[in-house]
Amino acid sequence: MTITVEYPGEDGPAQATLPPLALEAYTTKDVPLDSVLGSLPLPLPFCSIRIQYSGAPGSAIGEVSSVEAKGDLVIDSRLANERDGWVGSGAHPWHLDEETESILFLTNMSEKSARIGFDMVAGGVHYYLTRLKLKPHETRAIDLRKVRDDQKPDLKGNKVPVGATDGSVVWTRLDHVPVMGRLVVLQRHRKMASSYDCYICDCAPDFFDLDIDPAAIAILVYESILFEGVAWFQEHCNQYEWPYYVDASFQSLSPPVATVTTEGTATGQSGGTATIKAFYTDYVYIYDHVLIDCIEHPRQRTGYGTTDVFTFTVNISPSTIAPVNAGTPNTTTVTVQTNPVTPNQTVTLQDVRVANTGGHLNHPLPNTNVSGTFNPSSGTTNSQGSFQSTYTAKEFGGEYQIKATIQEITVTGPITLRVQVQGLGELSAGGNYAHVGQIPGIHEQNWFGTSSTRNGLVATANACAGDANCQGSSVPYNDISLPWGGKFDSNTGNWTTLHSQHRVGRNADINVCSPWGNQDRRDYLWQKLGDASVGGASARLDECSTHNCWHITW
Amino acid sequence: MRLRATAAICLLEIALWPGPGADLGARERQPLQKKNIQIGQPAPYAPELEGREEKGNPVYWDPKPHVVPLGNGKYALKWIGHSGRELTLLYQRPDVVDVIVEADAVLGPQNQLRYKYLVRNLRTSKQNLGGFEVRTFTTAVKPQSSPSFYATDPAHIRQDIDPIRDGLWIRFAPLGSRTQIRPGQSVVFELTSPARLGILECRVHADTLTMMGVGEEPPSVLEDLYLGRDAWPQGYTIGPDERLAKMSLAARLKYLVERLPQMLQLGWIENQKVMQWYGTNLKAGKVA
Repeated sequence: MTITVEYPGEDGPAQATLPPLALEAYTTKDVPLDSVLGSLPLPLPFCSIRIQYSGAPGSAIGEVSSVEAKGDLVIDSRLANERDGWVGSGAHPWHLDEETESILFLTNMSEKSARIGFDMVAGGVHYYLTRLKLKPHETRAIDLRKVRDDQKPDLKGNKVPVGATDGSVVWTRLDHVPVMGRLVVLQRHRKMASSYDCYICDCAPDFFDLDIDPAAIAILVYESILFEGVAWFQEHCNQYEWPYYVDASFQSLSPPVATVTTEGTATGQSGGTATIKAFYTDYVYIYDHVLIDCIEHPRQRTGYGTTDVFTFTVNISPSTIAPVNAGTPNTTTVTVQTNPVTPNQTVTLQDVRVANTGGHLNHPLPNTNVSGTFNPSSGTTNSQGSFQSTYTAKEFGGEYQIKATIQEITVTGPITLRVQVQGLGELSAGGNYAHVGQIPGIHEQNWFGTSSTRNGLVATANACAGDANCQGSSVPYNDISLPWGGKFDSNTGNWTTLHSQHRVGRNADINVCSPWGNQDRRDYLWQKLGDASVGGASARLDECSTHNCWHITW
Repeated sequence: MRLRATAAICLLEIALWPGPGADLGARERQPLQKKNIQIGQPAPYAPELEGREEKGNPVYWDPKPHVVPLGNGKYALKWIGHSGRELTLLYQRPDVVDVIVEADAVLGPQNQLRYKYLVRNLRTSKQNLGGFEVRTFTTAVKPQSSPSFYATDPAHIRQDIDPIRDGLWIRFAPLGSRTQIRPGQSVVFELTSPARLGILECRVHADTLTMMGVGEEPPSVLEDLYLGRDAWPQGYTIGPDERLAKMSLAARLKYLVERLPQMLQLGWIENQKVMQWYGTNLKAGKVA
């Protein structure tokens, strides 16, 4: 007789074998496992005991007793023969509370992989694990508390109800291999452990149907999605049905709309609906009373799914709006339209400022200020397949790309939004005035204004030059507005600035401080600025109070 | 020949009997009219995102602009600056002067008309006179400037002005602090032009339109409250108008008849009866 301990090693199931021992007829032997435990990579969460004996099947029975090292908790488990007619599936009650744990141990006793059907039931909800597979001789411990608390939806979207304390767990092997299962319910406060290992059916369940997951989904042109096959197995001895993800083969029945790889990756090609077909072969079993075994018969099943392939566009109206606090309108309507009409698509909007636009060159605009706001910024397409939002500009001029994202595909609107004060033009160079105040590489164009402002500035400088009382060095014209208007910082990145206007082209700064001229000259210049037939300005603010740096308003 | 503004019909170069009972100097002229445009509270100003705190919470600048009337045409324009302090800019309305304009035109050598404008800043004014402007319709006009007074140079005007189509405003204004026209004082401005005499607009404004900075520029909605020239006291006087030379006799008569009610209102014509007499004769073509 050989006793083998199978345990989870770093590279998969591992084994440790005790020296062979002899068990004489009608004798009982108590075999301590202390010696082999010393050679194991402790601590181990669990392990399984496998006993091979040379006698006839059923000629030996055994039991394993596990004793808690630091306490007096003992778990007794009976041993069963491989290929025992009832081994292969089980149904057990579980319980979870502060003192109670429920752990399902599954052991693949074969030399082949074993797919496992798993159903944890609570409150009438069935929760399936659909990818559970045991390697040869692997023992897997499934902590039902973890399954409950993970709250991961299964293929039907079900979850074990939060806080469920009682239910049943049903499992089965989906391949014709021996699998042992046992549910251990540990109740430490009572120092009790219950071990359940009842069995249900003899043969593995039959493969009877094939589904595609997802069964129907909308994807975008050029978007890809992975379809998977879900095989359904049915027990012989009851009505239990088990879903399990399988490696089906796929084919598109509408390649112009969507192509699909054999492995199931579908890619949208054009608008429309595509039917996706899947094939898969597995077994049904017939119990042979002569051979006392389940005989496999292969069956191919077919499943179908659909995918609606669509495109979407992003449009804005109007395409030019004013920076906030620099005229109106400050808002534009953003419309995302799917084609063909595809409702219930989640849309997310964003704006991206186009660099070096609006007169801000290489400008460290504060990130938090650059983007406008969408109301709402996300939502779902309506029954007409469209989604609308209102975009409000920030106070900066410049170009913005409006982007919409559906299913991780982002589309940029064909028209770039211009946040711009309209009607601004650049003050041309003139011999009687000087252009000052540019910041190279940052604000190189600071001379944009309305036609009234520009005409007034030109006429004022020329009139000054033609007046003996005013003429002298050129009139130094500083900031007017940026090419597209909007907030204008006086220094690089300084937005909390005294220079918070100059947004709509009707403010100009004139640095007439000494040594530009004396008070008489400034008086004449101001009169020309305020002359309706010359400058035409309406108001003058002496910003520095003492230095004659004028902020002129038209 | 000396022409008075109240005898503006002389522009027709005709001899027109003033009619019975006419006493052209008996009626007091009316001060220039004010529209009394109200300065209310500014339009809402959208708070501006200036940055974020370390925790990521947005920081907005909300200047809360508002206006506090101070009386006598002065206003405190208030807002919260970027520093968090409340800032105040003092603003003076341009229409706090009461002004009467009287004008004479004298034909001089080479058919040049010499216009004299007596601008009286009445005692009821709350501010010095800041400037006087008369609208002309000619390119041939020569205002008289002086070391104390600024006058528009018609040779250097804005490109977007067509003096015949839009009119050319000639500005006269005291220069700096050297010359002040206080309430109760008067000043005479002169210009010459060969153009015919027409009935034209004039306007004035109070002094002290320069505002002193407070370290930050006011939000634009406060700048929007500044009153423009349409708020200045305005009325009618005589001045050069080239357009009249191109009119037929009938058109000139029509021009006069249409302005008779205006002349009565301004005090250029003594009463209704005299106005009717002029109207009847002009319509009948009794101009010679």
